[in-house]
Amino acid sequence: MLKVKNIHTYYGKSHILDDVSFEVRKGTLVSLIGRNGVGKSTAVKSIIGLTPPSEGSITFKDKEITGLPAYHIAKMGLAYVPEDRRIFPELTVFENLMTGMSVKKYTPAERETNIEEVLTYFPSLGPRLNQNGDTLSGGEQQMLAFARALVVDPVLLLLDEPMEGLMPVLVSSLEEVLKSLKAKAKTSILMVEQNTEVVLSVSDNIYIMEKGKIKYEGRSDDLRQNNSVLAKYLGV
Amino acid sequence: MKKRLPILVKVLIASALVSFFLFAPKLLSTFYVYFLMEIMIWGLLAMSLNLILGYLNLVSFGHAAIFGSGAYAAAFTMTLLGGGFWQALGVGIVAAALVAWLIGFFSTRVGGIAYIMVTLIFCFSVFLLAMSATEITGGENGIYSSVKGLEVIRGLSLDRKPLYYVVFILTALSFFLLRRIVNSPFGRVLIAIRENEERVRFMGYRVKNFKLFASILSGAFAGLAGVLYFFMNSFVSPEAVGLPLSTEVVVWCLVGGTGTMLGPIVGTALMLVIIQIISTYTKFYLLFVGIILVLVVAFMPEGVVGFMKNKFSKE
Amino acid sequence: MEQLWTQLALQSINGFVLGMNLALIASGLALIFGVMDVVNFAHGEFYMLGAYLTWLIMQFIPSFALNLVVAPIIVSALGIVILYALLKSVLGKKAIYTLLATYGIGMALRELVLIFFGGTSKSIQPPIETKITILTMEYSLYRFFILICSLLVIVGLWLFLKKSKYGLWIRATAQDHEMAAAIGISRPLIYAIVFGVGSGMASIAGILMAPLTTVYHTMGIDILLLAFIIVVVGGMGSLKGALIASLLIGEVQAVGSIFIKPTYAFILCQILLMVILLVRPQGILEKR
Repeated sequence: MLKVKNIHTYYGKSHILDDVSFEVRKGTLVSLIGRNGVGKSTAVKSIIGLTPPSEGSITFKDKEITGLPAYHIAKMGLAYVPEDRRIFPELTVFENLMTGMSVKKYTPAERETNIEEVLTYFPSLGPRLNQNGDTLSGGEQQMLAFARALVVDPVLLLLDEPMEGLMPVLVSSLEEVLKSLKAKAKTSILMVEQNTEVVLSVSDNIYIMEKGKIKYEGRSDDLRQNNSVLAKYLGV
Repeated sequence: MKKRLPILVKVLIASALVSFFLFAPKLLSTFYVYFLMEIMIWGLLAMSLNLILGYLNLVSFGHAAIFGSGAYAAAFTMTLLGGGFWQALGVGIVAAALVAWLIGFFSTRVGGIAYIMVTLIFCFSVFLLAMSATEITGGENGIYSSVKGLEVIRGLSLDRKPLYYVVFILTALSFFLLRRIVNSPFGRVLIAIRENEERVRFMGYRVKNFKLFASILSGAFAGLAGVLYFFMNSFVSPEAVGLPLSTEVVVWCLVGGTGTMLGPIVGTALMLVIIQIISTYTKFYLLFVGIILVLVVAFMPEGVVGFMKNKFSKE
Repeated sequence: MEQLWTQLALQSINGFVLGMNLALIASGLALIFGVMDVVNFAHGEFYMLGAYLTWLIMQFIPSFALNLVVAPIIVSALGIVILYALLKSVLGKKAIYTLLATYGIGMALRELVLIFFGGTSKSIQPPIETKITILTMEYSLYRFFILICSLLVIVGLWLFLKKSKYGLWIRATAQDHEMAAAIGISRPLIYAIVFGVGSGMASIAGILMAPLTTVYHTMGIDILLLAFIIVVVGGMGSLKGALIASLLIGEVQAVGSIFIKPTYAFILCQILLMVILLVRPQGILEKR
């Protein structure tokens, strides 16, 4: 589904991503983990086109997407949930959900169904549909950011630290959402996350990054048994 | 290995230029001497603006108001107060600095685009004042007061040649003074503010005071240019405080390059020469100025001097 | 005393008319700044081009109404062409560069108009010549026409932004252009729409005012200054603020001119600006 091959991404003169390669197979949930600042977020941003790589190639469904403008990539079926939520503060919850959907061709009926579906995952958003985004609490904004991505039936979901700063209750419910998405097998997921427990619980494949490079790749079952690896790269 | 323009070449160029300026009155016709004086005076104005434009990123579109205030003040000193050369000079500079203070007080409260708008609006108000307060400023017609015979120092009166040298000396002095200022600790704080205002504020500096002081200093030099302008023309009118002039000064700085004190004066000279040449072919020279502006901004935003600097220090 | 009340009443209406017309220009300016971070120094020229185009077309087809529809479309198209031909390379750069680029473009446009149309001002007959009597004084019905047209356009803009798909995209881009792109909203398209709408609105303002002010090549920069004051006072990028400030400034100009010379009325606006900056440096309403 998604193949990242030998990409290098720079921020000014900083070499953030150094020869990074990984892939996300259809229907799987792949996690990218590592300490702060190793380049995980940049990797996701490179995929969605916000920080394009200067070398290397990224293909989605065997189509080259490196260097395409972000809006073009998004229209191909990738949905991005950024690290700092970034919901549109002066749009209502409903309008936030509509931003993604209005770009694709849905009939009004389909839109309604999508919204209803997404609200089953995030029921707390339901009563707030007409409230402005900036009136929501931090946790609710995170839900909205997630919902905004889900509501367009994405082929590939890109999550950047979705659990960050959430109460344990919300973390569990997000975990359930992820499991449910996996069960339906309609969406492939690439997740960047610090919460190792959740990562081990939901991922199929895990890549560990350090200083801009991929240092380890393995299945989550293996990692669960092999604590030393996690200790080495994450100090866990 | 940095490839820099050898010092010897720099000295040679500088000497050539200085000699050119020194001997110009003997070699060139009145028209060109006048033209050189214009370049120096406008160049001085541009340099004064660059103190806040290049070193603080304060894009003031109101510098004509300050410049013109200096000119008007010099005129008043002569017509109303019966003052001479030195009085006009002093009053002009102080008046301009005060206007700079007034504008700066409000404009430095806001940043970025709002700063531009505020200075622009102030400038237009000064222009309107100059146009309408006819009893004081002569309105559209301005103030005329011949400076011929004005005594500079005993035995030396302000005819064309002495005036030229007065302008040259004061402009050169200002150039070196401004360079010293920007290379001083004060100047370094300004640059630091330009690069990262928040950090400088955290370090304990009162950023607003620095901005205001720099604005006043800049105003003083602009006022000097204004006084010299009045001496050169024996005349001042609302054109001297108008927005077109304010904008032109910004353009000159940008064309030359705002990174150094050399840029503004190079930009001014370049633009004035180009306009002079184009004007001999068509009266619609503004069309070309507009086009040049767009081209410079798009392809050479660091200005001519900036561009040259980059070329000669490629690592 | 009667005279004064009548004058006040009439000037208040005038202020409203002027304010709404200013709102057309200022909204476009605020919209372009809010969404694209561009200070459009050529904005006044779109106002002017609307008027000149109308005069030109009316030499062949003397229909004011036709021009009110056709000329803005032409000016919008021209605006979009200018955006992509000239401004594309400066869009990402510091504000000063786009400012100077648009200033240069404005300068060039003014000169071009001067070359093609000459320096004498042109007049356009107002489409409505009837006058009505308000409180013993005659008042031109055409001014009400300006008021209504301006109001309709403003309302149209509001509806467009709030209810339409493109309006949603524009608002999203204004609030977070990176995220809007990541959602799939095409930035080039949004910029084209915003610039086109802004320049179109400015041209409508110019067309409406032309019969009153005559058409001359500096009519754009004359009004641009007032528009800038409005945008700063209203809060950079805020449309609601721009509307409120427009009406405020319109009234100050109009009512002020009863007591003092019109040029001094501008200085009054200047003082108003200074006061507001002292009290609330971010303007009446914050960005957007």
